[in-house]
Amino acid sequence: MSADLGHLILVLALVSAVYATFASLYGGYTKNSAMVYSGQRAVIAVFIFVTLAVVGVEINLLKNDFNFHYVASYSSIALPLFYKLTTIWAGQAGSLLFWAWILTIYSMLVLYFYRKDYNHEMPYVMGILMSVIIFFAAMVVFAANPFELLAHAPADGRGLNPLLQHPAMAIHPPILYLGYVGFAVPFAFGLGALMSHRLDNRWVKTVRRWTVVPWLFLIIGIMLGGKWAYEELGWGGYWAWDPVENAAFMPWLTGTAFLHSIMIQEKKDILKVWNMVLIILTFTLSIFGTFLTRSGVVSSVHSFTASSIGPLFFAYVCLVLIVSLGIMFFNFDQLKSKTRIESLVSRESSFLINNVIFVGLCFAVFWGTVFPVISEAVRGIKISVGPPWFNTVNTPIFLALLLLTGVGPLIAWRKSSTHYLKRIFLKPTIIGIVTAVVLVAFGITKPYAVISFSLCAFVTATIIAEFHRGARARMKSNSEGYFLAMLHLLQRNKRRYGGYVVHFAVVLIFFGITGSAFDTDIKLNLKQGESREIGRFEIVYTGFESSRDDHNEVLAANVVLKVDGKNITTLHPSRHYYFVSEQPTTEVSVYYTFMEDFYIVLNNVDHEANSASFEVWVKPLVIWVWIGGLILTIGTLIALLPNTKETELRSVRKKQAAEEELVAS
Amino acid sequence: MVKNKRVYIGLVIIVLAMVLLFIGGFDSETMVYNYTVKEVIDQNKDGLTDRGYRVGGRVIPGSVIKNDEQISVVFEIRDIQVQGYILKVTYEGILPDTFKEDQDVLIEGKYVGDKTMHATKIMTKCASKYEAEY
Repeated sequence: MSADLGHLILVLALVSAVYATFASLYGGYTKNSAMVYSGQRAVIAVFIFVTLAVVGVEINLLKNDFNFHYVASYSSIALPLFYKLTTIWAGQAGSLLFWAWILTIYSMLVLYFYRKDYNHEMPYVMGILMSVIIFFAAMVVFAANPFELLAHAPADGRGLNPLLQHPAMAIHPPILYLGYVGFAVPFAFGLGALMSHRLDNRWVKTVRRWTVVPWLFLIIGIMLGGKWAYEELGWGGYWAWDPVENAAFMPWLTGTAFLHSIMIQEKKDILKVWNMVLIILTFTLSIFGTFLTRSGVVSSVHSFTASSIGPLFFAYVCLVLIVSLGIMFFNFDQLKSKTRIESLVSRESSFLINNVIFVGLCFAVFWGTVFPVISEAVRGIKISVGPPWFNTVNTPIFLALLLLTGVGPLIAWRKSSTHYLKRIFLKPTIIGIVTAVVLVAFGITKPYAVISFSLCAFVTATIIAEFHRGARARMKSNSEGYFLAMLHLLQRNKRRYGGYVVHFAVVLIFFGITGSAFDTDIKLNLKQGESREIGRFEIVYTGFESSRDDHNEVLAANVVLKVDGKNITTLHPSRHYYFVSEQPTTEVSVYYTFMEDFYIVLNNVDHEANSASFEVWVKPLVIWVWIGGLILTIGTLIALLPNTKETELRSVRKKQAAEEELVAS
Repeated sequence: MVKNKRVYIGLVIIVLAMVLLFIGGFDSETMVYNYTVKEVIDQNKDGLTDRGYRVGGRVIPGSVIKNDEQISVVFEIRDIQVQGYILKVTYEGILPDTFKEDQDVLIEGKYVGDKTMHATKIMTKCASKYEAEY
């Protein structure tokens, strides 16, 4: 696509977004349905223009058209087709466009599904979503144009950073974006409900699903990022409290808090102000996250590369926060709750405590992330806040959350009696304590690790007991077999039991993370044929192979891995040397077991001494983090499936709406 | 409303506990100070040897010497802005993939005197912030 055409399309997208915003908001405010309709037409136009722009960038990438700055910067002739397509989210201009595109898709879906059911709120919802598009469209038009031309086209592009040429990394950004951007929908619904003075429980019910979806995308994105770091970066870990990681983690934390507290609003009609604040925060943090990732403000304290979009983004984050809190402030009287929380030992208050802790955790992460920037700006002292700080502050908070994972869902509404508490929690508590005692008896004395394992046992016990009780009840009332009862239980209450599955997944993730307290890290040099014992493993270096093709040169060591004297497998830790970027990459080799990962990195091969040097990690329980992620996804999907009851209700509601419309006309 | 009181007290206790955690976190040696090469050399006598910190500098081409036997590496970095300030860095471990000569790196570790730093961690630009320059 030519630069002029591309630019024209971007301008048209911007103009349509401006029109869609004002037509929707003005039409909604004056109850002018023709205007609202025209605004909705403009939303479709925005979607079409942004889609065309995305297609245009993709065509330029596929055609290797190095006249374009973007193509020349991130692609190259030799880049495999798959990575050429994914290059659209490799650089700044492309990812901003891509962000906008996802938002237009979400907007179209919302418009399609809810324009009838929510005809009063929809003008405001669309107005808000389109106002966000204005910002991103303006950015690609004025500040980071993906169709910008170079004065002289180079013969070949600079290529995609080889570290990013990994399947997990190729799909990680769009999945993260689906999460970030998706939070715009509940945000727009919340403010839309407020602006249209329709703050009954309807929007809360609808918005739950539209919060769960981006929430799931975000956590999958975060975990893919971790998996990539683990397998590609070769430093033996999956999480480093890097600003970019924190950027995605923060909205996820407030999003999790929001998911929990809207359940309370749905059931009890309280916490309205709190929920509105949470969703505003979540969306603002999503924008802030994009800003952190894209501007590079935080990480490069030593060499502050001023990015042109940094200040604009920061101003926009402030604008979103101020405008949305302002809207809330001027409609504050509508957010009053009729009922109150009655007891500290109730589900309401346990959810509230969960919320406060989530927000506190988010604040800790936020503070640790931006502190270096603030410190440098205010006091002129450059400070880095690294993993030690985050681990010191966050570990106790995480453990408190783990405890609540078990306690929260089981406490009764309004007020719990001591008798009830005893019945529910006595056995799990005993199991937790026994776990702790056994661990200490076996010589595990790290306090946080013991507490964490003990809580994992406690929470697992509460979840199993809950399934068991439910199944037993069904067996009695429906005279079904145990497993059939269990299956029906899950089918009939997908939300509730899907939620328990997610909680169990969280336990597994904690279990896996706790394993990192027992990591071993060894650096060693082995002559050919020499062997070394590491824990229950033994490795023998048997030599190396080297090969080269058009793109890179590969140097791979052969390492035989033995457990208890038996050959298990041959590992091939290697180093790749890419010609285009002149950068070596480490190919880690990992032997996965349910107990521990054997993780080996090749440092160098010494041809003269006929030896090779390695760094080896033995990392207990890591695999459970990924298994937990998988189960979390499954549990969330179960919770997302419509309940039979809900489907019936919806068809009734549709009928009602149709009748209302008839009466109105 | 009266019954509500205990809820508030509970929340206040939790918030206070978290505030204490924050303050405690800042108290301990979990934060790392950033310096330039010039600052490290100039402030040599200011007791910098006691605590760890982070130094940003540029790797001097040709200064990198790897020792495979001990899996250690020695190299020199210079101040990014001011000429004439050079710091020697020793490190045991594997250099990150993105480590290159004549490129900016962050060294975390301790100053051991004699314009030498013992690094415990070496960082370069993160791949996700990779922005090509033309």
